[in-house]
Formats: sequence, C-alpha cells, structure tokens
Amino acid sequence: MRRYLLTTDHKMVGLQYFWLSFVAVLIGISLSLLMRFHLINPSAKVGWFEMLWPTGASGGVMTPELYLSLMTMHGTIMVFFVLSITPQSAFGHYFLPLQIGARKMAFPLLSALSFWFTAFAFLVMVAAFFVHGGAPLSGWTAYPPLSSLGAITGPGEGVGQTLWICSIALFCIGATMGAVNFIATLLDLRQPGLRLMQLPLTCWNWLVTAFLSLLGFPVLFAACLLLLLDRTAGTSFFVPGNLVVSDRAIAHDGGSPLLWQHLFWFFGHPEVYIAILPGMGLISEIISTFARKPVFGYKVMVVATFAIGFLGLLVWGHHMFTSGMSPYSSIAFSVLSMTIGVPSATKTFNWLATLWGGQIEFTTAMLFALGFVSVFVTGGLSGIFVAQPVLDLYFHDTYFVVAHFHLIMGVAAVFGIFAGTFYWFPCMFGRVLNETLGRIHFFGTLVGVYALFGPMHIVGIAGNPRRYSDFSNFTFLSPLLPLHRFMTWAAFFTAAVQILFLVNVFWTLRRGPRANSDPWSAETLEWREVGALQ
Amino acid sequence: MNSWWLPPAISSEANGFDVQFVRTFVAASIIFVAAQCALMFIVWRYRRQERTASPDRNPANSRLEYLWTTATACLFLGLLLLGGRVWASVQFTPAPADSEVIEVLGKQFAWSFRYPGLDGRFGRTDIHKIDDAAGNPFGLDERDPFAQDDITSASLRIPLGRPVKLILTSRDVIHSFFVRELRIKQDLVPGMQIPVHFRAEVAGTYEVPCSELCGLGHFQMGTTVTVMPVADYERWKRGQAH
Amino acid sequence: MIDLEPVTSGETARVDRSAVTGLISSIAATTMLVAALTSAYIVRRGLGSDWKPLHLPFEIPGGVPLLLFSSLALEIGRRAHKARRKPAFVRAWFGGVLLGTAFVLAQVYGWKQIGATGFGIVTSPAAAFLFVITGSFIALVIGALAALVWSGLRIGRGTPETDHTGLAITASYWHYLVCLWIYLVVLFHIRS
Repeated sequence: MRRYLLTTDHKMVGLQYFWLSFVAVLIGISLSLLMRFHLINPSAKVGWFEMLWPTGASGGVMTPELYLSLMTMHGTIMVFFVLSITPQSAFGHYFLPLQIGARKMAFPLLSALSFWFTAFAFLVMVAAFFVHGGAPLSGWTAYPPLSSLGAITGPGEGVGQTLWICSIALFCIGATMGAVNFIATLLDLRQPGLRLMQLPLTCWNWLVTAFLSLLGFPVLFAACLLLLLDRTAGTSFFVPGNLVVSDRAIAHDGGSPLLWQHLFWFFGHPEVYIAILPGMGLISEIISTFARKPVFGYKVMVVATFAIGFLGLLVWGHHMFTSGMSPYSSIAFSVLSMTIGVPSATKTFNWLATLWGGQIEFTTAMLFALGFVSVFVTGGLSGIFVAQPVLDLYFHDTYFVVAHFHLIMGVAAVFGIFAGTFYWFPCMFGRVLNETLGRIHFFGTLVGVYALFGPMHIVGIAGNPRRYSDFSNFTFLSPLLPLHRFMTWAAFFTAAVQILFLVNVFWTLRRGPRANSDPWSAETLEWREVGALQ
Repeated sequence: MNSWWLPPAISSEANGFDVQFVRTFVAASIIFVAAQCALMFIVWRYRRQERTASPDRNPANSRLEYLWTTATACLFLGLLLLGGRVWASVQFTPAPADSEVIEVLGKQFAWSFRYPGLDGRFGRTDIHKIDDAAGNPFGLDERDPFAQDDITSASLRIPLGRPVKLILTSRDVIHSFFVRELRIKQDLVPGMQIPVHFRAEVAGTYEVPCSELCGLGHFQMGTTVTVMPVADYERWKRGQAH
Repeated sequence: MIDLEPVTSGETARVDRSAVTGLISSIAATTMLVAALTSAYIVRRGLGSDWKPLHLPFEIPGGVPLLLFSSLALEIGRRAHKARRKPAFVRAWFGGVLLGTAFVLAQVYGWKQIGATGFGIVTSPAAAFLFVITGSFIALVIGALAALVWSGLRIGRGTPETDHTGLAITASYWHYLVCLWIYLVVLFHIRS
C-alpha cells in the first residue's frame, strides 16, 4: 500500500492518473445525465434528489441553482480531471519513457508530486458539493462579478466557489510540474541515437501539449490568486464600483471583469488544445499501425502540431467577441482563429492520406481513431462559424457553441482516450480487451454522440441560449423541446452504451486473455515489454 | 418546423449576417459531406484484403501538402474577409447622430430601460436611490430636473425604421442582450457603458433572452423589444411622460 | 554559470542536461506567472481614476543590492565547490542564503511600512497589486531559499556530478529571481 502511495515509477504514476480520471469521468457523466433529465422535465419530482440535496432539491424538485452547480461541476471535472489528465498525464507518464527508450521520467519525484497535487485538487473540488451552499454555479469559466462577491450572488457562491478556486490553483501547480517533467524527459532522456525526427507523433504531441501547459497554467494560477483575494481580502481586481446586488451596495471599486476573461481565456484556449493534441498524436500512430502504413507527411504533421500549439496561444479573444472588448482586437483574434483551422485541416488530410493505399484492419482502437477523424471534422466545421465575429454575435452563448466544443472535447478527445485504452491495454494491464464488445461499444457510441450533438446545432441556430436550467420562459424555445427530448434520450442511450466499456474493462482485468506478445504488430518501442509484465 | 432555424431578419445588418451565414453554411456542408464520404470511401476501399502492400518508408508529397493547406487557408480566410464588411458596418461605423438613445440596465434577474424623456437628456442617478419596488431600478435622483422626465420601462420599445442606439450596463454581474431577429448580442458589463446601434425594419415584438450566465434566475431573465411605427412610438413616449 | 565540460576524474564539472531543461522550463513557468500578474497591474493602472500611486518604501529598491550580493556569494560558493574548497564553499553559499533571508525580512518590513501609511489592499489598488506581486515573488524566494539550503546540505551525499548539478541549478534559478526583482522595481517606479 505504501509502495503504491509513494511510487515514483512512471508506469505506476500513469496508472494512478488513469484511474483518477476514470473516477472523474463517471462523476462527470452522471452530472450531465442529471442535467439533461432536468432540461426536459424541470418540475419533475424525484425522491432521491431530495436525499442527496435537501436544500437544492427540496421536495424532490431540482432548483435552478442546483442545476447550475451540477453544470459547473460537470464542466470543471470533465475539462480538468478527465481531458487534461488521461491523454497527457496518464498515457504520457506511462508511455513517453517507453517510446523514447528511457528507463524513467526526468524527475521521478516530480511525477509523484504532480499526481498527488492533482489528486488532492480533485478531493477539494468534490468537497465543494458537501459544504454549506453547495457547489458553485458560475460555470467552469467562473466569470466575476458573479464568482467574486460571495454567496450574495447565489447559492454555492460562498465556500463552494472558494473551494473551487483553491482546487483549480492546486491543479495548476500539479499540471505545471508535469509539464516541466515531460519537456525534460522528451528532450534529454531519449535513447542514444534516437533522433527527434524519429519519434512517434504521440511524443511530439505530448511535447507541444507540455509547452502549452507550461505557459498556460501559471496564468490561470495568477487569475485564481487575484479572484481569491477579491473574494476574501476585499480587493477589487475584477470588481467594478457602484454595484448593487440584492439591494445591497457592494464596497468594491475600480476593477475590471474583462481582466478575468483575458487571463482565464489566455489559459482557457490553450487548455482545449491540451485536451486534443495528445489524442491527435495517438490517432496518427493508431491509424498508421492498423493501415499498415507509415504516417503520411510525418514532417508536416510535426510542423502542424507546433503551428496549432503556437497559434493556440494567440486566439483566446475569440471567446470574448461579445464581451465589450475592442472590435479591432476581435479582427485580430478572428484572423488567427481561422488560421488555426488550417493546420488542423492539414492533419486531417494527412490521416486520410495515411489510410489511402493501406491494408486497414478494423480493430476497436482503429475504429475509435476513424471515429475521431469523423467527429473532429464535424466539430471543427462548426468552429468556422464561431470564429467569425459577425456570426458569433448570434451564436455566442447558444447551444451551437456547446455542440461545437462537445464534439471536439467531449467526443473526439474521448474517442482518443478510448482508442488509447483499447490500444494500450495489453501494455498497461497485460491483457487484451474484448474486440467484439469493443466494436459494439464503438458503433453504439458513434450513433449516440451524433444523435446527441447533431440536433444541438439546430437548437443553437434557432438561438437557444446555453446555461439555462429551464426552457419554459420563452415562446421561441417551446418548439425546440422535442429536439431537447430527443437529445436527452440520445444522452441516456450513449451513457448506457458505456456500460459495455465498463464491463469490458473490468471483466478483462479479471479474466481477459493475456497479451503474449505485441498483439497489434505495432512498430513503436513500448511494445518491447509486453508479455514481460507477468 | 421553421422555428427550428434562424428567425426572419429584421434589419439590413441582420440580412448581412444571414448572407454570411449561408456562405459559411454552404462551405461547411460541402466540406462535411466531402470529408465524411472520403473517409468512408477510403476505409471501405482500403480495408484489408489478401494483397500485401509495399508502402514506402516515409510517404510524403510536398506538392499535395502545399495544395490542400493553401486551399484550406484561402477558403477560411476568404470567408472571413467576406464577412468583414458586415462586421465593419456593425462595429466601426458610429451610431448616426439622430439615433434614438436608450439606456439598458441589467440586474439579477430583470431588464430595465430608460428613455431621456422630452428634454432629451438623461438625468442623474445614484445607486443609493435605487428602489426596485417603487419602480426606480436606475436610482433616478428626483432632485435633478433632467431626471424628472426620464421614462423607465421593463420592456424595450423602439421606433420602426429609425436608428437606435442602446447603451448597455449592468448593476451587478455580467448579463447579455440578445435579439435573435436583429442578430446582435452584447454583454452588459458592470462598470462599463457599451453602445450598440441598429435600425429595425420590421414591426413586431421580439423576445430578449439573457445570454450570459448571471445566476439562478438566468433562465427567466427575459424581456421583449417591440418595434413600433414612429407615430405610435412617439405617442407612447408622450403618454409615459409625467 | 553552467559548466558543460566533460568529466575528468576527480573533477566536479558537468551538470545533468535534464536538470538544465527543467530549470529553463521552471523559469518559463515563473515568467508566465509574473507576466500575468504584471499585465493585470498595467491594465488596472490604466483603468481607474482611483489609482493613487504609492510612495514605494525604501526596502523595495533597497532589496536589489541585497539580492545582487547574495547572487555573488552563491556564485563564489559554487566555484569554490567546483575547486573542492569546502570551507570556502560553505561560507559563501550559506552567506548567500543569509543575504537572501535578509531580503525577505526587509520586504516584510517594507510591507508594514506601506500598511502604516494607510494604503491598505482594500482601499488602494496600487497597494493591492504591490502586495500580490511582491507577495508572490517572496513565496518564490522562500521556495528558492529552501532549495538552496537543501542543495547546500546535500553536498557529499551524492556523486560530485549530482552535487554540482544541484548547486548550479538552484543558484541559476536564484539569479533569475534577482533579475525578476530588478524588473519589478523598474515596473513599480514607472509612473503611468
């Protein structure tokens, strides 16, 4: 037990991160199902709601503030504790040293520290559910003044919001440590003779992701520090003067809510690339492995990865087109945002070219990789709408944006995680997941996510605002309710299909077929050790 | 079924939006169909068969890369340029001098609008005079003669065919003013006074849903904007004067 | 400062390359933190009519010579270690740490001075930023001091190479912090 707790072995740390985010994703999905249920049935009386949330769901009916706090925690837990963890910290810690022929990460102690900071951050985050007032309701974006004035702006904005901020700050520290570790490992611990341009694309993507983390998380930490001071020390970094909330004049003055948005999104946009880049690298490797062809345009793929990373640091203002920011800045951000679509498209072309002329085997990992390409294209295309400020004036804060980012982060990135799990299961656990169950899981999930997020574009085009707990107050929303009902069914269907995955994982762990040698005939270095695990 | 789409546009800028939207939608749809079909075709055509491929070690084709990268760049940036004129007309042209100026105030969880009244000037406000129950959300200072004829309203009325300039602010958290038919959205940021101008060309009443998370009442923070013929609008304003 | 000559027997010379990369990454991350705080400072200074510039206490620019001397001492100490002169190393290295500690104490005293003049973090945005920025800096300094002490105490427990790496890396990060302080002093002195 103590060995497990104090381990600095990169494989163990990778598994620790993997299981942490496994727990997180189960919580995150449950929250989303509660949200989708409430949206189509806001006045439903559900007995056990009251058991779990005596104040937030008294009488068994979910209050708007409870809905918003579930929504806030759903977004936060998924973005930070799932998408920023599995593709990079879990798979990366496990496989980066293996793929470069190193025996360890550059700083093994830092591996352990980064994990424990992250795990502790998770505990603090979950604790927000249990304090007086409950979890915060300001969204994963926590815009002040809503998030900076305390409980006067809403339930959950008291201790809950403070815990949220502390959790994120701890997460930032853990993530920055991880980034330092990854960069040094990749640049300095390669097996002698292994040149940079011989590395698998997974490694390149982990490297660029680490650069983005290194530059982005300290900024979020600074923002959290300032927000915490506004809340607890009476400073006014983000809070302007002359505010009246619930008939009380607020004693802050001179701050700028837009300052938070700039700081947050300076981190927040690279964050979404942190979530997707490792998956892209993995998809490149998986497609190449199962098409029995080397990746097409390897050098261009490396350049495209750096281009996405670099541009990703410059586009944050596209989250702020309606914020009151200068319209001239909007033009600059818009040009850069459209530009970042180009290397993403290039990667897609290269994946297709890799497949062209190949001998494609449809293992589950490959299916998820192909699914990744499909949903990435779909999600990316809605991006070209919202990257244009003139269109974003309509689409901002509607379900169109929600559809866009869920297809990329909630589906594509997750497909990357599934692909990695199926592909690397033999390495991590010495067994092979069941392929039949995997295929059914894949097709069910593919149908489910398109059924869920396809119609979401339509309600967005109709102007359905996001972060609403209830659609009964506006006439233009009632014709959209059948679409919402459909989407809720699709969500429950998709979640149900994931049970197949859970069964597959846990059954295989206990009784699955052992992996004797490289089960996929892959060519990268991590497979040398399979079969030697037992 | 047509409620599952954009509502009809009611201004020329909104029409400009629609044109740009259709361009983008057509481009995106073509790419979507082409990409998904290409993926499905390739995956079917190159599924494993008994032939063995002998792929070259490091496949690459610079010309192809330049081609598809340049094509994508031209398409994306071209779309942006085309939409640029509409953005400029919305954001870079100042409101006409004869615009009807109306203040918009957001608070948890209601909208308030203020008209300058017959004297054409907004009166002084003081946050300590705010009294929602008495119908004074702006905190008009009744000692100021200019404030005495200011009109406060819970819904927005504007004249048809005349330029309107809204000055948006909030007195607590960030809200957002969204009129689908005008295709405009602008956040109400406390501490800032943000102008937005437009000219509505179609009479009617349109819903205004708050579009920035502002707390537990966000979902019901709504009002309406009524576009009225000028004569009716002027008559309404005179009727509100006291 | 970083010696990368090949190791010859008995000489302590080489610094582990991954430690250098780790150092550079840590410097990048610290720079981003400070950049975020100082850009917030600059934005806020330009915003409000309520910005009353502080009279900076003497301790803030006065900290510069303290830090410069501490850097010098650490550098002398590191070279003494490389030349295997242990007593000289101990004197210089821990002398540098002492000077660094004096810096911290001076800043705390300086904070008290600001508080005494009536500029509190609630009423004065200038004071609020000063405290946040210098406070964050002091937190980094304390961490760096701990690292300096730790690497100094570890001498003799590891190989000459790892010992030297520890000294070189922690001292280099300290030199970076000194440069950062000079940047902050300049920033605080520029009138808007």
